[in-house]
Amino acid sequence: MLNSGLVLITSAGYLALLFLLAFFVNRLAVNNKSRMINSPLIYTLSLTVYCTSWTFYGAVGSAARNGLEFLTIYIGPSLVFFGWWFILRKLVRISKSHHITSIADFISSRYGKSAYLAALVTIMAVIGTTPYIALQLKAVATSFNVITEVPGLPIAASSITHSFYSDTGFWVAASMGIFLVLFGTRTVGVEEHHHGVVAAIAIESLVKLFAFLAVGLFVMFSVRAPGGGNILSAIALDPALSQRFSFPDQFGPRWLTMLILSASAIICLPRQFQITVVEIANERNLQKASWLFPLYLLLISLFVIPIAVAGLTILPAGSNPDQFLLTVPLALGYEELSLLAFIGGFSSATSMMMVASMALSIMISNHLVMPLLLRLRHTELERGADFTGILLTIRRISIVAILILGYMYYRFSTGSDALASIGLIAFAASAQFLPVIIGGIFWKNGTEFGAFTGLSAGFIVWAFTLLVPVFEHAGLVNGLLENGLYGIAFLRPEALFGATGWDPLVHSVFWSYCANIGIYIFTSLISKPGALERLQGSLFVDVFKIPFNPNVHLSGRSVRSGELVALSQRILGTGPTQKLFHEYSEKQGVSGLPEPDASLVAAVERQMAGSIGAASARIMVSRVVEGEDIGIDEMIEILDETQQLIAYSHQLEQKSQQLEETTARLRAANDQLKRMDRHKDDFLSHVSHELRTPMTSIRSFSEILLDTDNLDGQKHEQFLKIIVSESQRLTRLLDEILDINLLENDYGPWEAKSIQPSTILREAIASLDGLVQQKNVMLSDRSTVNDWSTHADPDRLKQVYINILSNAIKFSDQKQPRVSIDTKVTDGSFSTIISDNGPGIAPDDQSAIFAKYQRIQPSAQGIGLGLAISKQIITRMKGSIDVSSKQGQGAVFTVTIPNIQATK
Amino acid sequence: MDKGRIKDLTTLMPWVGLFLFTPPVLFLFRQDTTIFGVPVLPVYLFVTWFALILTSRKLSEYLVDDTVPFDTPHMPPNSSDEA
Repeated sequence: MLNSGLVLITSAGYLALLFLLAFFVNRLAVNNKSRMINSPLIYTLSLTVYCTSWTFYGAVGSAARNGLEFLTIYIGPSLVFFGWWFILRKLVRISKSHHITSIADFISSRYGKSAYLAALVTIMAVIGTTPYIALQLKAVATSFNVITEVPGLPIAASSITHSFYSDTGFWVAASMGIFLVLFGTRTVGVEEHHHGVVAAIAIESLVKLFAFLAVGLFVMFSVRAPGGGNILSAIALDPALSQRFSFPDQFGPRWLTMLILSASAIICLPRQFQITVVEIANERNLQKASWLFPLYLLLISLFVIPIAVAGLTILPAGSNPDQFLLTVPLALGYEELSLLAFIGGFSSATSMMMVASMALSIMISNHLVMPLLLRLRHTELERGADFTGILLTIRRISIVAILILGYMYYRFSTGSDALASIGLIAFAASAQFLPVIIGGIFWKNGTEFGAFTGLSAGFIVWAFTLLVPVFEHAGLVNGLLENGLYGIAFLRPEALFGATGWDPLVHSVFWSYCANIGIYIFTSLISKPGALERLQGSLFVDVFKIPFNPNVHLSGRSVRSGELVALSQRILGTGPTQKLFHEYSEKQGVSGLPEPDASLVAAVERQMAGSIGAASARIMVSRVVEGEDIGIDEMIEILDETQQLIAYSHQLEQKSQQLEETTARLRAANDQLKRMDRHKDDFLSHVSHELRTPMTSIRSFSEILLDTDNLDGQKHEQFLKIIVSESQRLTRLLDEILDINLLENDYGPWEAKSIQPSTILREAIASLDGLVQQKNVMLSDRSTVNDWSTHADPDRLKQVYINILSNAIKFSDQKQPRVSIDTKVTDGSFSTIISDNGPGIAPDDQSAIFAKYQRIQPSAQGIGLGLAISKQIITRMKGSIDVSSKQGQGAVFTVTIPNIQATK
Repeated sequence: MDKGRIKDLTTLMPWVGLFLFTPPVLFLFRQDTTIFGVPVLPVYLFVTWFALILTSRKLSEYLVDDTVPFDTPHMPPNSSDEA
């Protein structure tokens, strides 16, 4: 047992230290020396306001009762921070651009700066948070009783029988109130930075981590399991324990639900949103917190299991597991350690109460009181001089009211012994904000009406399924659990629509999310968003994409500078107003008051939003400004145009890419055309040349015959023969040209009948007999295939064979010219291989010889259309004609024709 | 690795984590074996958690340049909205 005086003095001393710290940090911040306070480390530590006394004491209790379940509370938030790039960074960026002051402000601002939505969120937050504050008071009071109680006596669950002045809870609540009035409501700042509070909770985070680790290490090193090993080996020894720290089959849904709940809590709990999103000084802090915060959570949960096991092992059965952190060291006689643990729990409780009531007070003053004041007494307010003072007073009153509310809840609720259940109920309440937040930053079509109805539905289902059972256990309502609403069994709070046998938490989260998300999406789709909702939706969803300052483009607002200054001074105070207007004067290059253009009005509204919330700021500015909505419509047009421009430029990019490809293709085609044109010119000059030679001789001989009278008969006849032979040659040339033109254009006579190429080949060889004799060529026919047949034009094929063979014979320049013929069938195609030992064809010329104007040997006869014609014929037979040769070693022509069956 | 991939990986992290911490995977570690006297499942949970923290730290180091500082409470009017 610890002396209660000692405990009181220690706690008071600790609180006094926090007051001093907050005081000095505020002094530093005023002097702009807040670099330390803005560091990622302080930011991360302040985030751990997440670990309240519920997690501090309750985690051990939960581990003792339900095994590993407590880990979900720490793992869920870790997962969210691992993915900081995705959600948290966007939330922070939006909040900074719109000067968001709280979660209610965020939601209302997204859905068209709706005052109703802000009020709804505020009320939900107050209802969800008050029991949580009560829980903290209860934890402090209970833990105080535990360490000052005489050991051995049973600890009464409801030892709150004292009058309030001897109740620890009261004094804690009171000192929190004083602390926040002093440090939590110093300024109505543009970005809601409360350096003193942040510093205090950062220190408290260190204290609670240190306390927990100290108890944990102590348990690990000085408490032995019954078998003599370390305390963890007790799990394996005791079947009940090893069962508890395993993972029962039916545990899955609850495990998953708690992961989701705790993940959404780290975003949606009002105090958490305040610290994570509003109080952040620098986006880079988030980057470091993405792993440092999960590390803190891991460390603080590391010794939960050993402490729980130790409590279950060494303490008498029936001891309250929520107090193991205190009772285990006490039972072993380490009173100082349990005092340290008490201070740790005290830290967790006070830091939560500070931030929660600060966040709530901002919401209450901006979204509940302000709109009412604006509505009820706006004439007086508009005449009033110092609005900042009124605002701060409202906040201070709100803080006190919230703490009183929490205290009353704590006094009058007998409550469940298990701290964890109240904590989870608060988590489930805050989780209702998640759909409209996530929808709000990723989905443009969410509307104010959708958000309002979705939130209300989710909240009603939450209250009915989780809060009503608590009230019933407390005796406030009767028979609902058993009989359902109006006696309808379908409407039993813990078995809604006949879903019996579910875990109450899973049941509630399932139905409330169904109602919340379903109605949010459905009513969003059927309601028509107003101009401001669309604008805000675009600005939120596209916060990373919209590069320009949208408000600069707002136009159509008219106001007199004097009125704007007066309004600004009342809300922002004289100093900031002067600063703001001075900046604009300089920017506009005027002395005295700046022109009240649209961007100045927007700036004033934004600065005011940082103090009183977007909805109230909009109402107040629109009182003195006229014609705003025109500006918004224009704004949306500009936004739409920007989107269209982006899409359009994307299309342009694609188009120009296509254009480039087409140009490349055109260029290639053009090159080919030019080449062909050149070839055509060549061809024409060849042809002209070839025609000219016989023409010249015909002409000259004809002239001789005409001019010379006394020509002898022999000469006469010889000349006439030359003329005839030259004419024949001319005709042959013209025939060939006609022939190839016909072939190229697929005209011309073409008969296809069943033929045997070997027969045709033999006919061709026979017809060349004379030439062979004349040139003294050794022709060896080695063809062996005789029974292969196909459909083709026999005369044409013969023309090809004759052409190639006659070339081989004609061009041979060896003393012993040889030409050999071979045939074979491969892959169903018939190949004829004709090889000679002539001069061969240079590699460069091999592809050219089939072109229709080429003649490799200038001295040779004809204009070189033979091979071109052959190529055309074989191509038309779907075959191929190839040449392989080395200069000086002869050439090998291969004619391959496929097997074609009768086509017609 | 390029930044786009790092950003996508960071976005993927919570889902990987959720997968590693969901029942079907956890069932795999529901054995009677112990490590230094501790059942396997808690060891798995803490080790995986720590591995995710280390991964997150590594990934976040690549993204440091892409965050925007907004230290100054009063920025000139022409830049105040780009924060």
